[in-house]
Amino acid sequence: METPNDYNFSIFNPVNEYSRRNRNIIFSILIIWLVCIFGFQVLLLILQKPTPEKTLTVYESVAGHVFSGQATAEEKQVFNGSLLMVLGKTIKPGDRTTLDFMLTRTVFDLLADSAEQADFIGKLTPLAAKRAELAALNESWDKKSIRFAEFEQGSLALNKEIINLKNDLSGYLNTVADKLIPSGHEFRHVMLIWLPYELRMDAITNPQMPDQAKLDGIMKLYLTHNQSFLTGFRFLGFPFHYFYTAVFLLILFVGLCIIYAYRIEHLHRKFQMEE
Amino acid sequence: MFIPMLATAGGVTQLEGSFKLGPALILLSTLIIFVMVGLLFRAKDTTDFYSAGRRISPVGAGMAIGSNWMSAASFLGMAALMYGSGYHGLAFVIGWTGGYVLLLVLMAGQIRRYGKYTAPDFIGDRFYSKGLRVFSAIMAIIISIAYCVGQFGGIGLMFKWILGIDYVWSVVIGGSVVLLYTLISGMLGVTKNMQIQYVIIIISFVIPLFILTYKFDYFWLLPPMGYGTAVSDIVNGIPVPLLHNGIPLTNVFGNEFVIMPAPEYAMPWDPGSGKSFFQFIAIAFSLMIGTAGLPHVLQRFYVVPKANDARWSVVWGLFFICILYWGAPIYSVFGKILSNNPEVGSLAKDAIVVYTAQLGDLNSLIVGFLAAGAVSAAFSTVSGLFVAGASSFSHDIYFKVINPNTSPKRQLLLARLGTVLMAGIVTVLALQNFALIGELVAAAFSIAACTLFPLFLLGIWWSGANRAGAIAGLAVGMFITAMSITYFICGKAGIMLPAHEFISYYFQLWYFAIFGAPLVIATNIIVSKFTKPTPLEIKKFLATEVHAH
Repeated sequence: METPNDYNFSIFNPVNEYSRRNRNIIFSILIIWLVCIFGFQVLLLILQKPTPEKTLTVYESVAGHVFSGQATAEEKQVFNGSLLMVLGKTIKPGDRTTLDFMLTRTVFDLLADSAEQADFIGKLTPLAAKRAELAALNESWDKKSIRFAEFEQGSLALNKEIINLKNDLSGYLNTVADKLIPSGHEFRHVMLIWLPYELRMDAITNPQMPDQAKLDGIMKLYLTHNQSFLTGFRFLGFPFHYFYTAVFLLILFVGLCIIYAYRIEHLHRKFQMEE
Repeated sequence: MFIPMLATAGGVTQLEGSFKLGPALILLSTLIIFVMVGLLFRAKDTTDFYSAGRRISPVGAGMAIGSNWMSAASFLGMAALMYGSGYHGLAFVIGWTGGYVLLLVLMAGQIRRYGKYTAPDFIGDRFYSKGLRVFSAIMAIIISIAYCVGQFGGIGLMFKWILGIDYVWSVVIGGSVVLLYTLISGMLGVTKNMQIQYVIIIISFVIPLFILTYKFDYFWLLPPMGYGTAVSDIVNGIPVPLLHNGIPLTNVFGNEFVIMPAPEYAMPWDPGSGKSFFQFIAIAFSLMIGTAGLPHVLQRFYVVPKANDARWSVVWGLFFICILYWGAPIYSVFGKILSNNPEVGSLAKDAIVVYTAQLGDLNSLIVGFLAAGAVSAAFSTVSGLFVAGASSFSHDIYFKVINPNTSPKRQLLLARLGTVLMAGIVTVLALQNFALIGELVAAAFSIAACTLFPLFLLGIWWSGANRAGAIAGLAVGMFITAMSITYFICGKAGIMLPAHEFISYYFQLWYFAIFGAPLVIATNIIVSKFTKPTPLEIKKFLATEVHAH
């Protein structure tokens, strides 16, 4: 007579040779799968060291003087360059505001005389006003207090005006660029693209200086990265760890599936299993 | 969230604008093909509707798996996640592919040998419980709805881009079209459609990659290898515009192809990204086991003739899927460089694939074809999900529990009514813009991983798993799911619940299965050990039919 125990089954306790081999194939595949996916990420974690970008070191060498008011013009230029290197990244809006504020203050300080400062304010004021209008329009759209067509038309028109005003400011800044950012910097060209977009009128009207500790924290946050030889080593142009995760693991998954399908077919043939 | 053109800095970038005739015609032709194929191969009876008459070859089934899988989340969402959070986004890439290894070795052949039509069919039968059949059917519907919400978001974004209309109307129109042809065709038409959709999806996705890599002077013969140098360029920065035939490279607006050094894009769990090692692992793990618990994915194995075909269909399916997944990071890499100009401003991340093609100044018809591919991706997945959800409603709940004497015609009618109902719910949820497409879809994976996956895993591989254990496990899974959803919604509404930070971090909606699934499995095992054992006939069927003892 049959008892329930005759048909007890578990992947961990195979009851015959076929099941045992089937289990071994499954476990081998799963172990390779687990180690290759998670083992590598754990290895990355173990080996990583928080590594600062060169810009952070440069920033730290001049920030103290800038905040104490003892910085030379060159130090302020270097300071601006460091801020722009971070502003060119994707950063949180609040952090961007803080950096923009500090950058504008330093730029304003570096303009030598009151005539230059007046020119600068004359170009920045209408731009700031139009940006405020655009922000208000975006807010209205977010609250759905205006229709889509109205929003689209309004933002297009405002954007056109803004770009013209920005070009005007940009042209002016190019004439005084040597006073504002380091002339020999490798990324000077990119800095000049970002500079006109990061200047804020309220930084000039508001005498309050941002807190240095806060600025230091922001710079450290965006200029420190987890790195190791696995991230530094290049393979087919990729940082190795990126290649491993984005390309190799997918190849491995397909390979494991092919191996499994063949081995099971072979197993079934060997044990004459009907499907 | 879906504002297409810049705003922060004030550029005049216009990536959307008004009605686009070329892309609209491409999309229209594509949809007509889908509907025609659906009509030609329409379901004639319930067997056709649920499982395509079991006449699909492994390669065909693999293409259908690929198409079914490559949703808006794969086509649009993955690049969006990598564009926004760099290396962290790769957790989604490996999560959504690595799960297929689990699916193959633990599920595919065994499920086919079990010989049921739907996931609740299997659960109700294996755990000899009508109640579990109903609950698993409800979970299948919930999972399908959660999955579809992200898809409708993607459909809305693409219809908005093509038609130049408001997002709300885009979702309504796009949703109506996908509903229409799912209703007409059912699974047979859907399976045929899926094979055609796969071809459209993959061609539309890959062509721009060759052009982008060629145009921006990277190794273009094999873009998934050639973009490595572009990743390193982002890490090291591009200080002056690169030249192509002596002309500086620019985006469509004339902004130079330059970028400040951004190691945060490629470095693991970068402090600036706000993402951690734990989150990376939790997302990858949850997506992997969620893959092996998704009803519409498991349902694909019922449409092949033999268990061996089920296995090879997974192999082919994964290969077809990987072709797209190897390419997705390329869009985010080029998107990162091409949009790295304050004039471009902030872009809707979920549309970055199409924006990248536009910013790269690709021919508008190619961009239109790309958008049509995105719509196809969303359509193929939604139709599969609607069929799975409708099957759960009409077959698992109505036919198997409420009215076993119902006619096949009435079942089909109910399946179609269920589909309409689901479409309505999904549309309402999609209009709320809860999160990015990829994140919304990831939530469906965690729900599947905490509810259906443990039932399949233990149901197949341990004859000791019994009804009481399954009920207890499912109860724990549903509790964890409900808790995670509640904390997520309250967080969105600004309501702070007890231990809000802890729960929101460790049981986040996108990856709560990291703890949830092991808890459910442990509960199932413990309760099964101390309650009445599995009946003999179930054990016998498992041992002899499923595991060929």
